[in-house]
Amino acid sequence: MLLLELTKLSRSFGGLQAVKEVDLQINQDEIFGLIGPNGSGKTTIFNLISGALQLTGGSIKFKEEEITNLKPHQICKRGIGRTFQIARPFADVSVYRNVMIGALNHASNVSEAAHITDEVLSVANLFNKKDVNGKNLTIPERRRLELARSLATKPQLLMLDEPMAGLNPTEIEEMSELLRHIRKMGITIFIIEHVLQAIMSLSDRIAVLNYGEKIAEGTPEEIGANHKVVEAYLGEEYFIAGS
Amino acid sequence: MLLSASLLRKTLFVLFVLALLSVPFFIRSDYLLTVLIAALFGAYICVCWNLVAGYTGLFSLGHQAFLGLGAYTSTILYVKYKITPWMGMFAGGMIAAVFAASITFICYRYRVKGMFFAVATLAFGFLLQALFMTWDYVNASTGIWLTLQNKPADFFFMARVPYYWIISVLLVISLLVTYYLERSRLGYYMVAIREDEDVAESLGVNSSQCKVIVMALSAFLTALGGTFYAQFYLYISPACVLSIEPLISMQVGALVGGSGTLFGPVIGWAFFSFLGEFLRGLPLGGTAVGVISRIIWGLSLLIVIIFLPTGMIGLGRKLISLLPFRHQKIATQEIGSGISPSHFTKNEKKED
Amino acid sequence: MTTFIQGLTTGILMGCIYAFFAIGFTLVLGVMKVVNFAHGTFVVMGMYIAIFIFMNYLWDPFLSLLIVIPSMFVFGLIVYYIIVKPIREQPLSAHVIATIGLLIIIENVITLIFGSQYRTVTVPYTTSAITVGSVRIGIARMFAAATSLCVVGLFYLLLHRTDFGRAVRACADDIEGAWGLGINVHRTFLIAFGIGSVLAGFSGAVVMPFAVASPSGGLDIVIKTFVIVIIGGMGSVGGALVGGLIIGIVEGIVSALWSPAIAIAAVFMILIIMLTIKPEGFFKKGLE
Repeated sequence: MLLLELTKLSRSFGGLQAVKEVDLQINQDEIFGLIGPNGSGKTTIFNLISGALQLTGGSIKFKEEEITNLKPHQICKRGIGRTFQIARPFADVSVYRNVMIGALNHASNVSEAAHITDEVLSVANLFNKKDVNGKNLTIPERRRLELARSLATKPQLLMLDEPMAGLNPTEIEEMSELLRHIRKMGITIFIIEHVLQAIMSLSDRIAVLNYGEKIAEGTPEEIGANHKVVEAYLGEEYFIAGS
Repeated sequence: MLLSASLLRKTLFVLFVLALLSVPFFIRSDYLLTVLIAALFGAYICVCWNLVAGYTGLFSLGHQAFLGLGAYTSTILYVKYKITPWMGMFAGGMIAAVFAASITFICYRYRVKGMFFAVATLAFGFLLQALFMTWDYVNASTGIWLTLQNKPADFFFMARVPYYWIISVLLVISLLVTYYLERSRLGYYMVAIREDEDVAESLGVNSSQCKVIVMALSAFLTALGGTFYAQFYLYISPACVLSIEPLISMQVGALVGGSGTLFGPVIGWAFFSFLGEFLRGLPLGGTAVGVISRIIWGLSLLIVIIFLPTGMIGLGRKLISLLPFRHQKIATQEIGSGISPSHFTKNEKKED
Repeated sequence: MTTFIQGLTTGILMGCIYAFFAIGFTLVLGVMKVVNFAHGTFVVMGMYIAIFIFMNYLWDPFLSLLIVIPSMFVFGLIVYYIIVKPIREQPLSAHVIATIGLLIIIENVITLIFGSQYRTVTVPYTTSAITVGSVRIGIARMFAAATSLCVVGLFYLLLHRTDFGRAVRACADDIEGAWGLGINVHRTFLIAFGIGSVLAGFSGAVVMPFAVASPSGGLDIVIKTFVIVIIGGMGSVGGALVGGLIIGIVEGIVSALWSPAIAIAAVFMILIIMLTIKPEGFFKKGLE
């Protein structure tokens, strides 16, 4: 089932076209990856979908409904959650409260939210840190908190902006496992990543962005073999071509 | 021995209320009662301000406007239309709430955030004072006197004790409001907005709606205090209830006591009240007391912001955590301090 | 019609002076991104130093600049070390609280020493004026306005023609880059704050021949300064001049045609309009 549809999505800042007529379709239960060099417009697309930024052209449909000019909190209520490129935990507040704030999105009262929070904290392996303040967490813990907080809002589509940044190989593997687990929970994942091994092995399909335009789309294998993509990433050491 | 933080707070709350209630039975001196009433009033407006600034991160630097609106509304309604201040109080509250909601909405609508919101509210407070100083309908800068009389139906008492009860009730109400807010959905959202408004919105928080509600609520409560002020001190003027003075008191009590905490404002203002009384006992001469008091206020603000952002409550928690109890979770910050990281930071649009 | 022109003339003169009030603030904001709510009170400090010197030595405020300038500079250095440096990298809420604390201290120390009543300095030319047509222009105000323009101009030159100015502008743009260029950013901040304080005190002293001082005048000044900076852009000297003139002229005309209270409302309206249109002001960021 088609969950998210971007049609000719565009955003320009003054004279600069950050996103140029991007078409994208994400199906339910997919893990869809978005890659591209720095500055290619990936986070801008997330910002456009989540309502943080206004479109200058095109439209966005979620579950067949137009969500183009809704505000961020309305988008979250519809079922789209997102994390940020640089982890932004609520610093002076405990992990528990951080997640509670997300949980209140879907819950009808505080005690229901508390249940959701407990569940999510165990999934994200943060239960034993629930009383620690956001600012006192390590980087991997912050990333898991970002994830947990968004998960608590009970999204159907979860947009993750570089969740692996700053993680070591073991942590990357743990995060990948967590994401697969989240998909099994019935949540569709739209993920931006630079750690290419991870995103190639996780994603069902991948789109590649360069200078705001989609230059390729397909399965990881197809993308790996695509020479336009290789050109765009020329110089990147860890790019895997082919299998 | 397990002493949970919440049990400790509930116990302290109950003890505090009991202490408040028992005072009139021990203290008969009018002078002492007046001092206590003034202290409770000060604490009350600090608690009100703490709701918007400490918990939600909204630096309302014009909050005295709501105090003034409350005082003037009930007083004008009584003096010109013979409406009892008991009703005038609520009228004042409603007017203040409407003003607060409008300002907050306008600032949301035009994306006036952070520092600009602070400046806008500062200018608003200033403007209101200037307007009242030249508006003859409210007697301009001369102010309005009320007669000392005993007319309970019109909120006038000869004795001090009834005023003590009223302000105690108001204070306890404001503390209860704070307490229940902390536990409610709105309370969680307020803190989220303070910490990082953009992230809060991405988690489903309708931040503009929350801010409007909190400002209106706080304005309403502050305005009730304005009426109390008028009925107790029997004189209002733009210089008393619309000047920057009450605002500075609100800030000092809330921030030094511990912004974003339940008891912070009360403890903070209790400290400064005590300080004021102490200074009055010294041979310094009338006006010098007020001035020296305020210099210490300013110093306290500086000390707090540079060394102790969590205020006295934070200091207390740190000290408790040093005690040799096995379970140190007493000191856990449940809500966090209000002087917080990202709230005011300029929007860094990260483009990718 | 004459009242209009009178108001306009006074307004233009005051506008120059307001711009002078504002450049110290905009310097500090532009370079180290610190919001100094006590800025208006720094201006008031300059006023009171001039008052003190006049009270004891009968020096003309312009002469007392010899004392005002160095003392405000030293004061600025001290404030930088004790207050500004620790809070500089903290969020703006910390700046607000700390500078309000500073404001309270200074205001009350002044009250302690001088009392809260209004004070003036009366020099031979305090009440002199020249009359052009039916418009009366106070000499003292003219001197102040002229000085303001000169200092604003000199400050602009300082920013654009000297090494220090280059360093300051580099820090305003990009701190990392400035370090990379070999600029001692900390020392630049220190001196910049000192200069900002001097500019404030200087502007205060210069208006004493005709103005009325009170310890609590700082708030009014800092609000106007905010409006000016919002109009002209943070860190822009030219913008401060434009903003100052706009505020001055509006205030002057509205005061003359209606009343000073309405004039405050008018300035407030400008603030609201500016905040809704463009909080960052019309001029570019950085320091210029």
